[in-house]
Amino acid sequence: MQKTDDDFLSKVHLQPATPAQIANGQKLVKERGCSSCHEIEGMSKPENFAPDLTGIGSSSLARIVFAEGVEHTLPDYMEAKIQHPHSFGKATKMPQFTFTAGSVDALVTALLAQTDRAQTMPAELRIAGKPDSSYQPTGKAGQLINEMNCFSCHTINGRGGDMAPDLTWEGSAVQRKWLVAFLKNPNTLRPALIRRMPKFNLTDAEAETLADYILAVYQTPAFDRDELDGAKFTTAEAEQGRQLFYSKYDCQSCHIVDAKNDKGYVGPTLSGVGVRMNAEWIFQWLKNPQALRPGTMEPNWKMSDEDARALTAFLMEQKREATSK
Amino acid sequence: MKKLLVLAGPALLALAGCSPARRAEPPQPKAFGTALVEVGGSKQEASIGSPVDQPVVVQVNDAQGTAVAGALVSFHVPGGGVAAPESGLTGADGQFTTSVSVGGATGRYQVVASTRDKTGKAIELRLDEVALGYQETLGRELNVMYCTRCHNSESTAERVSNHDNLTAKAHDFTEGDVLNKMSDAELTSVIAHGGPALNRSPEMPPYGYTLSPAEINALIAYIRAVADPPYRSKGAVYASK
Repeated sequence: MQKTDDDFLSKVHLQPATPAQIANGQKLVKERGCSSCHEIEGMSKPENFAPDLTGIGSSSLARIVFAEGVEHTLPDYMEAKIQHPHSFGKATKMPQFTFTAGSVDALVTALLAQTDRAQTMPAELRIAGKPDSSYQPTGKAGQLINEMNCFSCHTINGRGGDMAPDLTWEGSAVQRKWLVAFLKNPNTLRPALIRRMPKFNLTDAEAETLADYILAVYQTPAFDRDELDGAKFTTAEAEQGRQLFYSKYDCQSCHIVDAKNDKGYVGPTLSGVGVRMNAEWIFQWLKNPQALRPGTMEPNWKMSDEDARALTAFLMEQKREATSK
Repeated sequence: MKKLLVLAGPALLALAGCSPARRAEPPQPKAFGTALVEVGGSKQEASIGSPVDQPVVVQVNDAQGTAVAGALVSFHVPGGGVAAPESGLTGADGQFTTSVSVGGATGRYQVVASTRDKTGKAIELRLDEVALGYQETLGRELNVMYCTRCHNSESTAERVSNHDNLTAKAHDFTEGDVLNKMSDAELTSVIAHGGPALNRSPEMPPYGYTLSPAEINALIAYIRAVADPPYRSKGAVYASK
């Protein structure tokens, strides 16, 4: 039978508390420092309750009081303290945890790393853990994003999975018409990938709501997506871009523009990129792809503005609609 | 005390590998073969001190090339590697399977499998496994991120190889006979500045602005570690008179 909160105490029969018991309880709560972790009304958080562990990995053995039978080394001391705190005296306030041997080992290792040297370690040598993100989109679009579980595959603002592209700045990258069509019927952009985005059977209104939200909210502060006007490139620029694409940069080894001749399929197909992406995004991407998507495979060419502009002009000409698969 | 044991782990494993007292008594062979051949499991990579992914499988054959069941095969991995189980009898298919861990030093470990023929003459088979140190392991990760799609002709379920789409075929990093001839400086040039730096295919793009010098060194260390035939450093090169 499933227990509910209501019958939690149904079999516990307590006598009404006496004033002595209450006073004793209060004393115990104070001694054990319950309020250092639990919120208890009328009780303040005790100060200097537990020792500061900063630099514990460098503490001198002479300053440590070892319990009986513990080897006089720092790791052994830590291990004994974590496993059996009460062997260091009945008054020890540290609770008896039930860690597995592996957890104790991991804790000792982590504590040993808290040395004085670690405190002065230059910031660039530290590997920071990824902070948890509790990012939550709001409104109607937020509801759709939650319903479709976009976060299982896509990361947005540090939250989500890594199975599909990070969408944090997607609004700067793509064009509205393409995005609405894609949300309604996602086709694949990368022929080599086996994973496919599922079709969610969104209504027109839902797809448009989602697209508008993405375009309005998920924009990079690094540049203005409308800075370059895709319609203003000259044919000469586009022709120069074509030559750069096929000769200087050999983009066809990884991308397909002309499906008949190009074979590379590491990166996305670019045959319809002119209706898919914004000119400014392409231009910025060519100049430093890692700045827009850290860890992306496309090498940073440190391309000159002139080359990047010509290539953007060529790519914006590629307006073949991708056939859906 | 456990902590110290963990630190002394590789050394103890090395000792255990040599100590006959610890070794379980091998079973008595029921049959004898004349040849020992590899079924699979050589040339794998693992970080130092850890097991290789796939088990090592060998097969005992007789003079006609037929599999022999019940032949005794024993393994040892000199230099601190471990094979578990160390010895046993071949199954009905004439094969024996063991899992191998490489030792604590970066480099190549030889897995020595041996069996005896009827006359008691030892038959040995030596298989190579590669132990990757910190730098090589970092290089392997970078390889997966940036290189493998073109430099490895094998496709997996996760990624399809782009190797066959290139006009100039990218060299697999295990191609020692080509890559061993290139100096570290040449590899650095090609990685940092792309194929045209050494008058090679422009399909190899420059990664000098994407990877840091330390990362390029790590990649080269990885390329050297997996080269087959193995790479031997020329050491310091002096100007000749």
